[in-house]
Amino acid sequence: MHVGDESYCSEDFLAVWAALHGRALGRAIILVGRNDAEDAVQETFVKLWATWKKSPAKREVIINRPGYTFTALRRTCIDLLEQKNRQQESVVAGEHVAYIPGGSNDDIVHSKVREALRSLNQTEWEIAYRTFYEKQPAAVIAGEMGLRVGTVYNYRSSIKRKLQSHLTSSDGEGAD
Amino acid sequence: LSVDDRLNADAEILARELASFDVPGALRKLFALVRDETEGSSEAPAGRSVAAGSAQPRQGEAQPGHGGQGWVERELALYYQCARGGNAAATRRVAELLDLLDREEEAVAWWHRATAAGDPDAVDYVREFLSSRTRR
Repeated sequence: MHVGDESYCSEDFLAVWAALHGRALGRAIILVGRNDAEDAVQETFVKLWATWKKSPAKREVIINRPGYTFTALRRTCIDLLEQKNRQQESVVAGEHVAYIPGGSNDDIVHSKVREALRSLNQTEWEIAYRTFYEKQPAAVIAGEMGLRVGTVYNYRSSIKRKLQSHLTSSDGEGAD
Repeated sequence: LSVDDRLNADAEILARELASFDVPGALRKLFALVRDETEGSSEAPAGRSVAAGSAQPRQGEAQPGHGGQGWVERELALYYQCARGGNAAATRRVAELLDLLDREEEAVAWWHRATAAGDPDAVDYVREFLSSRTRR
C-alpha cells in the first residue's frame, strides 16, 4: 500500500478515525458542550469521509496529520455554535442572547476557562488543548502538527498570555 | 488560581465527562454508515476490517502520525495549491511547513503573506514573534 494512492480503502479511513474519535470528542465537549458534542463529532466524520472519497491527496493529510481532522471538527463546532446563537436570537426577539454550551454543573463552574479557550485562534486552540488536556510535550505536538518545536513554544507563550488576559477580565466581570 | 491550575482542574473534569460517553457504541454507528455505503464494492479486502468496539486500529493498519521529510514536502505541495487559490489558512500552513524544513527566509515571506491574507493565527504570530526574529 502506498500513501496517497487509490489503494487506501474505507477500512483505512475507519482505522484513522478509530484512533482519533475519543480525542475529537474531548475537543467537541469544550467547544460546543456535552449535549452537542456527539453531533459535532458525527458531522465531522461525515464531512471527512466525503473528503476521503473525493481527494486522494487529502487522504494522505488525513492519515498523517490528526490536526487536519481536529481543524475540521473545530470548524463544525463553530458553525454549530453560530447556528445555536441564531436560533436563540430568533426566540428572544430583539435581544441578543449568546448561546453558552452547557450540560452539567462542571460546565458552569468551568465555563470561564472553556470560554477563554474558545476565544483562541485555530492553531492556538489546538496547541492549548494538546498541552493542557492531552499533556503532550512540545516535541510531540510539533511532530503531530507538522510544526517546528520552536514554533510550538512561541504559540504557547502567546496562548498563556491570551488566556491570562481573558480569564482576568472575565473574573472582573463576575465580581461586579 | 493560576491559569495552569484552572486548566488542569478543567482537564480532570473533561476526563470524567469523556468517561461517561459510549465511545465503542458511537464508533459502531459511524462505521455502519461507511460500511453500508461501501457494501458490495470491491474496495475492502478481507482481513482489513477495523473493529469498531475496540476504538483502536488493528496492528498494521494505517495510523495517524507524522512521517518523514518526504511527507512534509508533499503536504507543502498540496498547501501551495490551496494558498494560490487565496486560502489564508493554507498560506499560514505553507509558512509553518517552510519553517519546519528550515527554509527560513521563504517562511518569513509566507508568514507575512498569511498575515496579509487575514489568517488570525498568522497575524498574532507575526506580531509577537516574527517581527523580533526579522529584526535580529
